[in-house]
Amino acid sequence: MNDSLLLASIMIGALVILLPLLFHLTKYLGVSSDNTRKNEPVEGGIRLAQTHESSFTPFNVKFFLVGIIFLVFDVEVLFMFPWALNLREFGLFALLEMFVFLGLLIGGLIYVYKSGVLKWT
Amino acid sequence: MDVSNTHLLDEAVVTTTVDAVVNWGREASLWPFVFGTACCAIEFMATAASRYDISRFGAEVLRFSPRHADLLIVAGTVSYKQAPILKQIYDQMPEPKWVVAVGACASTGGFYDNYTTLQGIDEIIPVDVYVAGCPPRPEAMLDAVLDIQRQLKREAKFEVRNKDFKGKLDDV
Amino acid sequence: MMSEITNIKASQLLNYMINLKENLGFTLLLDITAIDNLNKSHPSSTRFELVYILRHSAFEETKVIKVAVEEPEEGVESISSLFSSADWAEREVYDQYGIHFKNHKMLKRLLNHNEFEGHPLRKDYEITKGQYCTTSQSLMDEMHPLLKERNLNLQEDNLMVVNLGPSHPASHGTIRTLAALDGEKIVAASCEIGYLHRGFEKSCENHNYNQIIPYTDRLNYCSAIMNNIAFAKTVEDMMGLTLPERGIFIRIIVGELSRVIDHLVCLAAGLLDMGGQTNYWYLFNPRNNAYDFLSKLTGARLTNSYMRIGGMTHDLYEGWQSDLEDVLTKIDFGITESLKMILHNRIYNERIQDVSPVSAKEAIDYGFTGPNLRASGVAYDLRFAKPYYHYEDFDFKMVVGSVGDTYDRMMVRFDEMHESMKIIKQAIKNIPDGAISVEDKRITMPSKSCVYGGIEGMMNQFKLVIDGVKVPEGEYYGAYEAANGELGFYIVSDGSGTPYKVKVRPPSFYHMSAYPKIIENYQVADAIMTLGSLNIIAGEMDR
Repeated sequence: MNDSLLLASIMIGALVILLPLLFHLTKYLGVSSDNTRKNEPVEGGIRLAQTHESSFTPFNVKFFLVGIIFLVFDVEVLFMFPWALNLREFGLFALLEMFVFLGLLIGGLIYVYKSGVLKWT
Repeated sequence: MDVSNTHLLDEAVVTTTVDAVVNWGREASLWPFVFGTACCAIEFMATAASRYDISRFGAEVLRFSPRHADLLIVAGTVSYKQAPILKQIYDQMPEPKWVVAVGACASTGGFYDNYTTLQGIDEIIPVDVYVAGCPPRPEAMLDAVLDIQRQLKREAKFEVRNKDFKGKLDDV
Repeated sequence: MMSEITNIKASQLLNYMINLKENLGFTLLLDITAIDNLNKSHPSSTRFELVYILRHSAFEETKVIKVAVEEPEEGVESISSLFSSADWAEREVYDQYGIHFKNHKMLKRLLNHNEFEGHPLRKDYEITKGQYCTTSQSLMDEMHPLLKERNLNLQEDNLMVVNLGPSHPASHGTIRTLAALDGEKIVAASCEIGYLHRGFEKSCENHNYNQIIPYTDRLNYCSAIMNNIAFAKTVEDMMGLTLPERGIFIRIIVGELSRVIDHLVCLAAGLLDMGGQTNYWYLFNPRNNAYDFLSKLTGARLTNSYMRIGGMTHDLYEGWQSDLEDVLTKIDFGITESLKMILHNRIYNERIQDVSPVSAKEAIDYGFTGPNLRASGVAYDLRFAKPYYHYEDFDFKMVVGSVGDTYDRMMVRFDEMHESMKIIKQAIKNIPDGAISVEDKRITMPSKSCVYGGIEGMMNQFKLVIDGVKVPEGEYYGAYEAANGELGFYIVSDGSGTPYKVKVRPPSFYHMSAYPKIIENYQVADAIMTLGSLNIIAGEMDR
């Protein structure tokens, strides 16, 4: 088996075993008390029931937009990682192909910038 | 029973190695939530500053959300108006949790014996360590954290602490 | 000496105030309070009297006006349409005394909790009668009128209402702000204070003058000695006392040192909120050195209680000059290092310049004093306007800003620290020898050798401790330039050793009353920086 494949599968295996193990340990071995107020949302000590009737309050769409744009560009960067590792093998063609990919996304970025989504106020 | 006589208690409570390991993890990394209201909060800021470093004892990570904290440090006077806030913050902390009442005002109301000051936070939440002083010196606050660590070591880890406490604001 | 008081009728109040403000130039409303005459030996016409204290726009003269209130339920006209600072001042008088103000926009309790019944500063309210509060109030009743004024609707405009709650890392002390947000921008805000109301004024009515000194320590706990000096100076002015020269110089030295450490806290906490944590270490470390000096001198690090009526507890210790100069060197080093990091730092400059500017006119209207007022460009410093304690002989400058934004408020404090250190150095050079307290048996405690040596000394000590220092009958407003602004005490004396009434004029109270208005249309992060720059000390604001 390939070295890096072995390493990756060990890492994934360890995580798959470790994370659920830790969660179950705290759930079954840890202490918890049943307290009606414990699950209320934290708002600096004020009980939320007093300012709003429910937590489903209107949420401004600007936050959502920024999150989605971040996600798109983050995935773009993610695609660049395996490309960067194997660039030497593929040569000039891969470089130009990546420039095309980046160019399309930069076009998108210019559109986002011009339409004013990145301004907070 | 004289609770300040620690070796007596060590014989009464049986702790296993697992307890010892878990308790070591808990004591060496207490995450304080500083509920600072008044002058004692300024002295706490001095305790957290570089001279009387509180992070030497593991309690560096000052968390400002009760969800992440396990040590509630009440530094300053708690008025009747503030009491429901304190109770809510205490309730929202996950178990296990410890409470330190720093200063005369948090312990007993201090010299404000009047219509607006809660005469001690132990009327509403259970307190583990009281620190005297007005305000206490930073060394006294560090001693309180060390005291909590000493108390921690003696506990068996599977029990909910302070189950029998009945505070004035409990039934609301 | 006592204050000159003008008595007017309730029906003339609004017109008189308009005349004072527009024609006679008394534009700064310092304070509004009330007196309950129930226990007074010489009864006056009505049970309640309102007291209005104003300052002239040239900042030298103050005016004290009393209005007799016939019926507290009916009350008097509100002057909040003339002075914005009257808004919260009248709410406090309503809360503590139960006097109504007609045409006030939102007359509800300010310092006591919403389930409180009764009016605590009335003489028939028992001091130890505490009332539990079970839930906090939702401030939506204050938010809805604000939104209506701005033609906004919660649902249609997608506004989110958020509590910048009482337990918040960046609200210095416990201050609750309810903000309606459009994204990150605050469109309307309302504040709730009173979480640290500790009954200072009622406690004063039960203790004698020297016993009140520890209570004054805990008002502005970052610069405790200045509060001691302000209170002691007011009582000494009432009694017509002048301290001996050495006493005055000691007051100047420790007073200015307290001013420096107060500004250090404000700046350290403000810069920490911005994320510049290294500044916190650099600015807080010299504070510990200053605490070492103060604890050697007075016995306590923070709440010193060093002053007494007529002087102070004891003299400076042997070798104090080198210690103090060492402290000043360290403070200077801390400030220099901190400024090196932030002065040309783009993040610092762009984050706080042009954030929440307050114009000079607005600042006077809101009742600002101290560094916040000077940052807005108004050159008012009580040490220059009406110098006391030989401040006119010292060589220092008044630091005045231009725009009144957060940047100005913070940089004014940096420069003021340098000026205060200059004063301390000059005072160290020129301090004379001699007595530190007034040599009067009715005021200053006798030395212990007299107390244990003879019956006269013991009786003297006994009378001073049990009865207290007797202040002649009358009323007086005394002001002092504290680190935060004009700290005033309005004391009503009935001739005994216990004051009949003490009202503190807290600078932070008026700065906080302006806060919900000046953070509008700025983002949440800017609001946090504004709060840090205003230096709100909850102990002083809520008393």
